[in-house]
Parts: sequence; structure tokens; C-alpha cells
Amino acid sequence: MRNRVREERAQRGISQAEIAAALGVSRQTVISIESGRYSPSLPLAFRIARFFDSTVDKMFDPEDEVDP
Amino acid sequence: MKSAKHGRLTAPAIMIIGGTGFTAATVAAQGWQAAIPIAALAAIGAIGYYVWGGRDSDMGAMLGRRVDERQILVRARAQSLAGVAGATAGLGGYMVAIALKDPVWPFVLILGVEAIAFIAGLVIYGPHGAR
Repeated sequence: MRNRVREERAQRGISQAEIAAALGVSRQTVISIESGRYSPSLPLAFRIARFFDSTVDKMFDPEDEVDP
Repeated sequence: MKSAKHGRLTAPAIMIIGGTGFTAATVAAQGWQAAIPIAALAAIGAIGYYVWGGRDSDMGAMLGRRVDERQILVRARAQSLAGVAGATAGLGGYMVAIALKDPVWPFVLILGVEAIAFIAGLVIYGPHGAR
């Protein structure tokens, strides 16, 4: 799943360790989310969106989204 | 992610307590010389567990008991793979035992436990247990 975590984090000059501590996850998980290897749970996705003062649908964009 | 300062100490403490028990039992049964390797192994294991549990890695988080949601998933997949490997080894051992006309009950026991554990997992973590 594509996401804007890396871009938003870079814009704010926050390190992976800092966002990991703020979200209550490991640095490795932040790395996995940023690289798209791991799709976070819904609660974590909401925490990420809130952290960046954004919304889940703006932060995450499923690559394999099926057209209705 | 669980903040588990004490969690990191849990497994090493259990290893020390268990190792002490095994060491005491070995001293009582076979004397000090036989118990020294067991005590050394328990001490090295507990220290290694504690040190590795403090590392900034997935394995360190698992050993230190401060896993987050992704690491729980990684651990569950690794446990699943270990279960499949155990069942495969049990099945292989069963076939070899039949071919060699050796007792098959240990392998039947392993496969039985695997099957019961799988069914128990479905019941425990199924629709009513899933979160």
C-alpha cells in the first residue's frame, strides 16, 4: 500500500525513531510502513494520520484498489 | 509496542530459576561435576537472552517482550512456519519408523499434538476470538 509517511516525515524533519516513539511502535515498523512492505492496522493508521494532522485516506492509497 | 523494562527480565529470570532447579536436581542425582555444564548453560543463556533482548531489532523486541503489531505478525508467521516444519518432521519420522519397523508412537504423539493445537487455535482465535 502506497503512503505518504516518508514525505510527511521528511517535510517536518522528524526522524524514524522519533515518529516510532510517538506512535508506540518500533523503528523497524516505521521503516516497513514507509517502504510499503507493511500495511498498518486501522488503529495505527489513524494514529499516523492524526500525528501528521491528516486523514487516513490522504495518508494511505491502496495500489490495488478495485474500481466500483 | 509494550514498554517492558521488566518484560526484558522475565525470560532470563525464568531461565535462571529453571536452570537452578535443573542444576539442583543434577547435583542431587549425579554430583557437582555433572551439574556445572547445566549451570553454565543456564547462565550464558540468560545473559545472552537479556543482552539480545535489548537490541534495536525485531528479534531484540521479541526477546525483550516489547513487540508492536507488525512484530506480533512476524512472530505469528514464524511460529506458524515452525509448526508446519514440526508436523512435516513428525510425518517424515513416522514414515521412517514404519519403514524401519520401529515404534511409531512418538511421531503419532507429535502429529496428534499438532492437530489438536491447530483445532484449538481455530476455536480460540476464530471468529469469536478475533480482535
